[in-house]
Amino acid sequence: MSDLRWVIWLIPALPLLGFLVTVLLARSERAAGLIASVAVGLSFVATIASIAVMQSLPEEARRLNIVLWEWISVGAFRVSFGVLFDQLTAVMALLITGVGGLIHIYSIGYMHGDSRPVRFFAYLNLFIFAMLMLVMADNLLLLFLGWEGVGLCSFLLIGHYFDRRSVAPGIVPSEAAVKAFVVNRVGDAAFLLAIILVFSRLGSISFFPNEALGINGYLERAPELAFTQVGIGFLGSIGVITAICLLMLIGVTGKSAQVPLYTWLPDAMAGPTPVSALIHAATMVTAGVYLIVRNHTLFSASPTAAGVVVAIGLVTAFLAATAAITQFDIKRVLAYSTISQLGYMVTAVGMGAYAAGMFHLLTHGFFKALLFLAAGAIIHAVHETQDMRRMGGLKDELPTTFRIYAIGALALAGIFPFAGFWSKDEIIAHAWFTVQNPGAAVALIVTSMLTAFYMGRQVALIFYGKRREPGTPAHEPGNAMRIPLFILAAAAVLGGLINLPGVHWLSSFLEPVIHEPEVVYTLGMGILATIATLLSIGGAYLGWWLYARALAGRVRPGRDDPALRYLGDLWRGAELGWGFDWFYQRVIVRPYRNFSQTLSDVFDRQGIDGILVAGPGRILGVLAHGVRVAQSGFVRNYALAFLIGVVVLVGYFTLAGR
Amino acid sequence: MIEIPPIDWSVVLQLCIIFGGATALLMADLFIPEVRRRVTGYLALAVLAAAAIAGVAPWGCRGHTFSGTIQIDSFSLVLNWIFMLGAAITIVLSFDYLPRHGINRGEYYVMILFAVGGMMLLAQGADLVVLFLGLELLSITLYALAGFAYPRTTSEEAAMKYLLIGAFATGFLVFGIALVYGATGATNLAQIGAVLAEGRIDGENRIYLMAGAAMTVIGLGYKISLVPFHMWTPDVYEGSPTPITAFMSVAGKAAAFAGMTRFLLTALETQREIWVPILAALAAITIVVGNLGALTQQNVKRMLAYSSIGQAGYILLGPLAASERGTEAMLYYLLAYTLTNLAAFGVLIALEARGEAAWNLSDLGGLWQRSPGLAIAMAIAMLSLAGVPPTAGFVAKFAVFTAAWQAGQAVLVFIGVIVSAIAAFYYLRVVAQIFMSEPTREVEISSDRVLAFGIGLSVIAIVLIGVLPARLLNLI
Repeated sequence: MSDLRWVIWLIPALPLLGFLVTVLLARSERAAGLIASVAVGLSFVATIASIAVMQSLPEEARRLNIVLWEWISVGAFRVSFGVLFDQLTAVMALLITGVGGLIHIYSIGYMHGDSRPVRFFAYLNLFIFAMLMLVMADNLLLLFLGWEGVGLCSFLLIGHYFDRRSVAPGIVPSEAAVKAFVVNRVGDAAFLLAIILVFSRLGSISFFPNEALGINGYLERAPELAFTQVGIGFLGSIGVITAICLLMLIGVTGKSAQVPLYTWLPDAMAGPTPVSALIHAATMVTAGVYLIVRNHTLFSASPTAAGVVVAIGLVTAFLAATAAITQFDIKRVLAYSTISQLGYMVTAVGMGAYAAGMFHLLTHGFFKALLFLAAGAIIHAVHETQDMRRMGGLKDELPTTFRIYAIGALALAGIFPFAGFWSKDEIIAHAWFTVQNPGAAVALIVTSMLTAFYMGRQVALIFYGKRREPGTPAHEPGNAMRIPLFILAAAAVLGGLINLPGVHWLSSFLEPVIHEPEVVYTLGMGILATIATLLSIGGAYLGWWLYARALAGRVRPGRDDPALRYLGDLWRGAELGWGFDWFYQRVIVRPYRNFSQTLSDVFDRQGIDGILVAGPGRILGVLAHGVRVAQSGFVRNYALAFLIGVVVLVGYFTLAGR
Repeated sequence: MIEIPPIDWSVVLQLCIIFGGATALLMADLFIPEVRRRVTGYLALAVLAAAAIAGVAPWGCRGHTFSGTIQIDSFSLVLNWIFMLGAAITIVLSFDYLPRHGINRGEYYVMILFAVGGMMLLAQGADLVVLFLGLELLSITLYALAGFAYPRTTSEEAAMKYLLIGAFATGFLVFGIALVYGATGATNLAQIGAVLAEGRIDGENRIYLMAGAAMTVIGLGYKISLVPFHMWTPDVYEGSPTPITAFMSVAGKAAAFAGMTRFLLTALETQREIWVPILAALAAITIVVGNLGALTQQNVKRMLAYSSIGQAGYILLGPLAASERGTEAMLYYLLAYTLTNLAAFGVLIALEARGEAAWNLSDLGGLWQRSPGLAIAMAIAMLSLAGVPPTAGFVAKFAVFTAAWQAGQAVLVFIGVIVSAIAAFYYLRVVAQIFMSEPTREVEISSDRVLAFGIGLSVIAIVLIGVLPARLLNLI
C-alpha cells in the first residue's frame, strides 16, 4: 500500500478544491452547503485512508513526508513545500475533518435563509484547508502559513454578520473580527521571531531531516543546544531553547487564547454559532497545543520554559473558569469555558503529559463542539436570543436538545463516565503523581469544580424554572442539525474509550512521536479521581440548585445576577474577564488611536496631503491655466509666438555657431 | 545633350507603387458608385500592402539614386512601414466614419496615399530639396484632408489655420534651405556635412549657414509641434475629421521626425554642441507645455492633441542622444505611439457614431458597462500613453530615457520622468471615468466590425510589442 502515499495530499487538497468550486461555481445556498460538506467529508475519508496506509508500513517508517517541491532555496535557507503525516498529525487531521465535517452538515440547517451562504461555506472550507496545512506542514514556515490562514479565516468568519450593528449587547461583529485578528498578530509576531531564531541557531526549520533533499531537521538537534545562551541586550542572556520556547509560547497564548492574549475569544462569539463551534472550540484554538506537542523536544529541554507554560495554563484555566460563572450570554459562558479548558491542555503539555493533553484536546473537541451546536439549536429555538436570563424552562419544550445539552455539560464537568472525566483526570493525576506538584493538582481540581458549577448554573438557567420571557413557543431543530448533534453526543459519551486506563489506545498510538513512558496506575490515582469527581458533582449540583431553586426567582431579564449581592466587586471583576480588556483599552488601544489620529491630522492631512500633494497640484493647475489662456484661437497670436521662437532659435544658432 | 545618370529603380520602388497606385486609384474611383465607396478604401489598402511587401526585398541594403538625392536604408524602410501601418489603420478607421459624416468621397483615400508618398520622400530624402518636396506634398494633402468635412465650420477653420501657419513655416524652411545653399554651395545633406567637417566655412558664410540651419529646424519643428511652433496643433487637431487627426498626429509627426533626424545627424553632425543644448531645452519646454495643456482639458480630443505635443517632446530625446541607440529608441517610440494614438482616436471615432461630437470626458463615463471592448481598448491606450508596463508606451519611454541618459542628458531625463508622472493624472482620469462613472448622456456607439477590427489590432499590437520589445528593437 505504500504507493498509495499520494492519498495524503488529498487531505488538504480536497477542502481547497471545495473552496475554489464553491467560490467559482456555487450560486445557491443548497449547492454551496452540499459542495463544502462533501469536500470535507471526502477529506475525512482520505484521512482514514492515510492512516490505513501508514499503519500498513513497518513500524519505523510510519512517518510519511511527501515533498511537492522545494519552496524556498536561498543559500542555507531551504524550505520544502511538503506534508508530513505521522501519528500526531493523524489524530489532529481526524479531529479537524471529522468534527469539521459534522459542523459543515449542521451549518446547512443552521445557515438556512442566511443572506451570504456561499461566502460562509467557502470560508469554512478555506479554514479547514488552512488548519490541515497547519497540522500537516513539515516545517515551521509552512506551519506558519496555515497558522496565518486560520487567523484570516477566523477574521472573515467572525465578521460574517459585518453589516449588523450588534449580535449581543456590546459586541459588534466587524469590531470583534478586527480584534481577533489584531490580538492574534501580537502572538504571530512572536512566533515569527521564534522561527527566525530556530533557523539562525538550529540551522533548519524542518521538523525532521529529509534525506532526499538534504535538509536537516531541527527537532532532534534541540538537546545539543541545551546550554547555549543568546544575548537579549541589556537584560543579559537567556538559553537559546528557552528563548525559542517562550517566543513560541507567546504565539500560543494568541492562537490558543491564553492569558494575557485571550481577550479576543469571548468577543469572537459574534460569528455564527457553527463558526464558534468549529474554530473557537474544536480546531483553531487547539493549534497552540499542537505546536507545543510538535516541538516537545524543545520544551522538554528547557525546564524554565515548561514552567512558564504550566503557570500560564493554570492561571488561564482558573481565571477563565471564574469568568464563565458570571456570564449571561449562553455562548460567552462556553467561550470562557473553552479558554479554561485550553488552559488545562496547556498545563498538561507544559508538564510533559503530551498524551493526556492530546486526549483532552480530542474529547474537548467533541463535547465543546456538541455544546456550541446545541447552544446554536437553542438560540434558533428561542429566536436568536443569546441571553440566558430571557430563557428558562426550556426542558419541556426542547426535550431532545435538553438531553443532548446535558450530555455535553456532564462531559465538560468531568462526571464519570463521560469523556471529559477520563481526559481531565489523566491530567490531574499526572500533576499529582508524575510531576509531584500537588499545588497544580489542587488548582486543577478547583477549576474542575468551578467548571461543574457554571455548567450546572447554565443548565439550570436555560432549561429549569419558568420561561422568563414568554413568547412564541420554541421549536426543535431540523434533521440537518440534529444528526451531527447525535453523533457528537455519542462521541461525548464514549470519547473516553480511546484512552481508557489499561487500554491506552491513544497513548500507544502517539508513542512513536512523543516517546512518553506508559502511566502506571495505582490505587492513589483511583482515590484522587473519586475525590475530584465527587467535588465536581457537588459543584454541578450547587450550581444547579442555586439557579434552579434558591435564587431562581431573582433572575430577571436585564437585571444583574443575584450572586452579585453576596460577592460584590469580586463578581464584577470576574464578569469583566478580570480587566484585561479594560487594561488593553486604556493602555494600548486608546493612546494608540489618539497617536494615529494626531499623525493623520497633523502629519498626513496637513503635511503630506496639504503641502506635498495638493501644493504641486495647485501650482500645476495655475500653470495649465496659463497654457490654456495662451491658446487664444487667433492665428495672429500663434504666428507671434512662432516668430518669437524663430528669433530665439536663429539668434542662438548664429551667435553660438560663430 | 544632357546626360541622364542611371536610375536605380529598386531604391524608389515603394515610392513608385504609392504614387502610381494613388494616381490609378484617383481614376478608378470615378467608376466606383458612391454606395460601394469602401472598394476605393480596400484598393488603397491593397496599394499600401503592395508597397509594404516591396520593402522586404531591399531590407539590409543601402543605396541611393537620382544623383544621390534619394536613398534607401533600414532607417527609411522602418519609417516607411510605420507610415504605411498608420495610413492603413487610418483607412480602416475611416470606413464607418466617412458615410456617417456625409463625406464619403473617394479622394479621401487617394490623398492619404499621396500623403504617405510625401512622408516616404521625407524618410528617404538625402537632399534638402527632396525633404522640402516631401514636406510640402505631405502638408498640402493634409490641409485638404483637415478641411475635408467642409460643410462643417470647425473643419474649415482647422484647414485654414493649418494652411496659414503652414505657409508661414514653409517660408522659413525655403529661406533656410536657400541660406544653407548659399553658404555651402550644396543641398545634399552628406555634402553639407562634409563641408562642415572640413571647417572650410568661416565669417559671414558661417553665420548664413547657421541661420539657415536654424530656419530648417524651425520648418521641420513646426510639423512635429515643437514649442513654440505648436500653437496650431490643438485647434487643428480638434477641428479636423477624427481619422485625419489620428493620421496627422502619428504619421505626419513621424515623417517630420524622419526629416529632422536626417538633417541633424547627417548635415549638422559635426555641430552637435551647438544644436543639442537648444533642442534639449525646447524638448523640455515641449514636454512641460504639452502635458500642462492636457492637464485641464475636459475635451478628450483636445486633450489628445496636447498629449501629442508632449509626446513629441519625448520622441525628440531620441535624435538628441545623437547615437544609434537614440535613433532606435525614436523609431520604437514612433511605432508605439502610432499604434497607441490610433487606438485612442479609434475609440473616439466609435463614439461619434451619430455624426456628432462625443469627446467630452463625461461622454466616456460608464463606457465599461456599455461597451467593455472599447473600454478596455481605451484603457490600454491611455496606459500606453502614460507609459505603464506592460504596454508599448512603457518600453518606448524607457528606451528614449536610456538613450538620453547615456548621451549625458540627465536633466532632461529627470524633467521627462517627473512630467510623465504628472501626465499620468490626466491619462488615468480617462480610465477612471470609463470604469467608475455613470454616463451623463446617451451616446450611441458604432458597432462597425471593421472599425472594431482596426482598434483591436492596434491594442493587441500595443501589448504585444510592449511585452516582447526585444525582438523588435533588434530588428530595427
